[in-house]
Amino acid sequence: MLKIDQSEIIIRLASVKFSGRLDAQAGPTLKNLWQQYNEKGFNTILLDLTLVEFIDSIGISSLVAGLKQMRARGGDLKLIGLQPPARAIFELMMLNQVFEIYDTEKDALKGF
Amino acid sequence: MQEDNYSAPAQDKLTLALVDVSIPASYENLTIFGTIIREYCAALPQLLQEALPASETAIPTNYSHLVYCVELVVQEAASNIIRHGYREEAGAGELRLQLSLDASEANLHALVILLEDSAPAFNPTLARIEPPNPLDPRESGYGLYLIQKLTDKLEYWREAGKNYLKMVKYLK
Repeated sequence: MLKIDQSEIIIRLASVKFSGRLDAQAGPTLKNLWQQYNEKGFNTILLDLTLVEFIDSIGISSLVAGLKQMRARGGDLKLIGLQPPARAIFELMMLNQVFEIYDTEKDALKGF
Repeated sequence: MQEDNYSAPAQDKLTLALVDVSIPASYENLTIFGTIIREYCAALPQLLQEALPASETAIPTNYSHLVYCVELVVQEAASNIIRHGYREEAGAGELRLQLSLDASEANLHALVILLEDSAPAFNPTLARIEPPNPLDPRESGYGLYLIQKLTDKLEYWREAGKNYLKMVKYLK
């Protein structure tokens, strides 16, 4: 006899592009942004960082906070276009094992 | 070239190309430090060549990584001072950044970064630093870890009511 267990995951995806500096000054802005996405029911964010020239530990912490919130809602926060110097810092902090990091949005969408 | 105008525990034998800038301590103003660091580092190869024509090993191979690391450690140390030292109060105090080249060791030239502030005493070299755990990523506390990992030497001292943090990055 066939038994069927069904579950449904609804992905509500937002695609966002940052430019400039992702630093201590940007921390509160990011906190508000994640809150807005939560309120609007988004659980997946594709975050394009191609034009971000500098990321510090507060910026990184804000990304981790966003990632945790999205995963808690059954989704994810995926990073796109992380530039080589920032990528080296992510590796140093072992966050390349935490975040899914892609070169392009097309690559990120293949992951679904 | 200027004389050293601070007293460090160990004086550098040969200090070149000193940059000295003070800003009111705020996150917004840290971009000024960033700009100065990028311009200073951009001039480094020429400075080294003019000051030390015999040196061949001084110009770092991965240059953009070096510049990024220097800007990052200054950003981390300075934003820690703003947050914990000055408690993010506007007008609470100043941050002073000095950049210089130390060529006292024949084949080991170093970029010396000195940060000065007048916040309450805090010695970051004694702080307990937790290494990152990818299985349980934290949402804070990465700053000191990055400073420790990205510098070759770290010294702290307090003098006349001021904190001094000296971060040394070898040019290799």
